[in-house]
Formats: sequence, structure tokens, C-alpha cells
Amino acid sequence: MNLLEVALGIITGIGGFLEVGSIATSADGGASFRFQLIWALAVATICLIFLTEMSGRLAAVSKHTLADAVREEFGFNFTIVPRAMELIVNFMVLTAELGGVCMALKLATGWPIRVFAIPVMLIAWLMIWAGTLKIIENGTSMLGLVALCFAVAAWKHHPPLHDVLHGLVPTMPHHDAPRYWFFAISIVGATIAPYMFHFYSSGAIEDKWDEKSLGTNRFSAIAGMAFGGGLSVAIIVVAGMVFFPQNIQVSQYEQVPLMLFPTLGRWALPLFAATLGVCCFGAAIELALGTAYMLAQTFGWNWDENEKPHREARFAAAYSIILLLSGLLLLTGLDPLKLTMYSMALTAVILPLVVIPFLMLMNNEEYLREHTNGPIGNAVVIITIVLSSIIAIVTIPLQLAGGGG
Amino acid sequence: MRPAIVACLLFAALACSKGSDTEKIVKEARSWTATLDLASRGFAQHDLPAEYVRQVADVAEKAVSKDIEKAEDSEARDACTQALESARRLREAAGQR
Repeated sequence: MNLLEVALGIITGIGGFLEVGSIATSADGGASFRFQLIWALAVATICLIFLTEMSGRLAAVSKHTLADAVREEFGFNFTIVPRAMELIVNFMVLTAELGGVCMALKLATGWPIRVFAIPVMLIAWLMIWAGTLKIIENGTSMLGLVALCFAVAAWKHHPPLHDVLHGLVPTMPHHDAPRYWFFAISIVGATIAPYMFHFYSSGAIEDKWDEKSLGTNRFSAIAGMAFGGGLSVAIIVVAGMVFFPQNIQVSQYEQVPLMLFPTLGRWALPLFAATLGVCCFGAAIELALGTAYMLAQTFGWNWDENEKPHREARFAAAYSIILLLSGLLLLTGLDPLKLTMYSMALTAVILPLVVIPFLMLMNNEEYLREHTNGPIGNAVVIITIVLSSIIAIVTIPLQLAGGGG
Repeated sequence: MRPAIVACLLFAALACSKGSDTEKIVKEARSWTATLDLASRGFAQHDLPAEYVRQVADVAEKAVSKDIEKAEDSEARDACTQALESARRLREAAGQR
């Protein structure tokens, strides 16, 4: 099994899974409902494992990325609507990720977010411009291991195992039903992010996967996503142990490091800032690249992260422009936590537009030959996505009306 | 048709369960008071640096100051005043170290 191929799964697990959205939704969800939302994370993680494995399998067997195959099979006119929606959501999420890096720096230095917006954007841009996919994959997956501090904190709390396991069973909330369902779909949106499929399938093509890579693909999808999902559960558990008994609701990022100090002492703040900074930075790079891959494949431009940027000028322009716009939006001083929560919920709304054509492709023998989907994968993904989207459409207006988030 | 009916029913059920503004303000103010108490504890134990606890006090004060303007009854105002007092105490303590 190729270790570099496995790294692609792990970076997607760390950079794509544990990022500003999953840290915020898990911390706030645990603080408000203790372990009661673990089921939402578990369902979303299982769905994500299926979808990540599918995007790698599509690339390895058909030599097509997701956006490429959807355009070829359904035509450009069909493709443009879901891709436009994805572009808007990706822009919001990218801004939230860059905001997460700036927040980490604010926590460490006390300087305002706006000071860091443009330098952080430029460093992310430089990493993509000058780096290769391998450097990005390996660098982020190594640095992202700092996120294990949440697992250590959860373990040191000795949480009641029975209660944690009970959280795997969906239950109705005793209070704040709109907030509960908003968190549930935000967790789904933070977990199942469409840009990850573009990044993963494009990375698989760049790494020249073929049918021999299917075992690695399955392993890295399961290991990477289970690793990310496990860390998100750890955040829910720690928030449930520290914030929930004291009725602390997370309404600003500045509150979140407090959940680590009862177990990690003076390491709490540096470790939280490092985790937030590294994970958000990794996710921002994935997002910018994933968006550029999506645009290039939708419009039929040349794309290759390992090529010199001047040879793939439109691809390079795509990630440069979206990064620049996100950096500029951060300068307006919007609330990064609210932006994160609404971006995640909106992601859940658009999921069917992205996933249903994807599933149709995964059942098409012209692309997948004997490697088409089984009934279990189809059922898990379709039920999760459609239900999440319906709940998102219902709860977002209620949260907006109530000024929550 | 069926998903639309389910969505409407869910919307109605969720809308009915929304709490009042006073309840929300009290809850948020108490949440900030508890946050500030936790930060004070970490600061007293030398686990959290002064610069960070000052940030916590600042965001708490900003959030509660907005809420106190909307507070219509004494319970909500008292909860906000208590949170603001905790923020002031924490900022003073941070300033002394």
C-alpha cells in the first residue's frame, strides 16, 4: 500500500474534516446538548466515508474527476447550476477557514483579525502557487496531528461511556428544538463538504491512481474520515464535560479554548490555537484548490497543481481570485463564528444538487464497469443527504428569525 | 408533495417551541457569567495568560452590552449587569498581572 496515497486520505481527514466548521459546530453542539448530537456526527461521517471512497473509485476506474464526469454525462447546462451554488458556498466556507486561521493568531497574540487577513491569504496562496500537491498533503497531515490534543483532553475527562454511546442514538431534544436541529444539520454540512470530493478525485488523478489503487482508496477513505470523525466526537465530549454542566453556550470563538484548560492546563491555549490554525489553514488550501479544480473541470481548462502556474494560467487565476476575495471579505470585520455556522448549514442545503448526479454516475457501468455502487452505499448516502437538506431548509429561516447561530 | 408536508409540519413544530427574547437574553448573560468564571479560574491557576483572558472579557462585554439594550424586564437586566460586573473584574485582574 502506497503511503503517499494514504496521506491523501489523511489530509482530507484532517484538513477537510477537522476545520473551522467541525470545531465550531462540535464545540457549540456539545456545550448546548452534551453528547446528544454525536449521532449526527456519526451518520455524517459514515456518509462521508461512502462519498469519499466513491470519488476516489470514480477517479481510479474511469480516470475522470467528479466535475469532469458530471459535465460529460449531463452536459454543461445541467452542470452550471450546482457548480454555481458550490462556488458561493465554497467562497463563504473559505472565508470562514481563513477567519479561523486569523482567529488562532488573534488568540495567540491579542491582535485583531483584520491585521492577519491579508498575510494569511498571501501565505495560503504562496503555498499553492509554489508548492506541489505532495508538499501540501504531507505538510498538513503531519502538522494536523496537533489536533490529537482534543482526544487527550476527552480521555483525561473519563467521560461516562454509557452516556457517550447513548449519544449515538438519535433522540428528540428536551429544549431549544430549532437550535438542536440547526446544529444537527450544521454538523452534517461541516462534515460532508462537496469541495472535498473535487479535491479528493482530482488528487487521485494527479497521483495517477488506477484500479490497483482501489484498496488504498478504501483504506484511506475509512482511516482518514474515521480519524477526523473521532476527533470531532472528542470535541463534543470535552465541550459536553466542561461547558454543558455550567450552561455555557459558545457564541464566540474566544470561549472555545477554555474547554481544554481543566485537563491540559497551561498547554490549553497554545494547543487550541495551533489546532485551529493548522486545521483551518489546511482546509483553506484544500478549498481554494478544490474550487479551482471544480471550475477548471467544469469549463474544460487545463489543471494540474504539480505544473508551473503559468502553464495552467486559468486554474492558477481561479484559486488566486477566490483567495483574494475571501481575504478582502474578512477585512469587513464580519463575525467568523456566525459565518461558519451559516456556511455549514447552507452546505447541507446544496448537498442533493451535488450528490444526486454523483450517485447516478456511480451506478453507471460506462464509467465504473464492474465497480459500480452497491445498494447499501446508495441508500445511506441518499437518505442522509435528502433528510439533511429538508431539515436545513426548515431550520435556517428559524435561526435567522431568532438571531441565533 | 410528501416532503413538502413533512417540512411544513416540522417548521410549525419548531416555530412553536421558540423561547421568548427575555429567556434568550437571560440564558446568554448567564452563559457569559459562567464563561468569565471559568476564565477567572484558569487565570488564577496561571493556566491562562492575561492577554487571552482580557480578550474573553472584551468579547463578553461587547455581547452583553448589546443584550442589555434589548432587555425589557428586571430579570434580564440583572443577569446582564452581573455578567458585565464579572467582565470588569476579570479585566482588572488581568491588568494587574
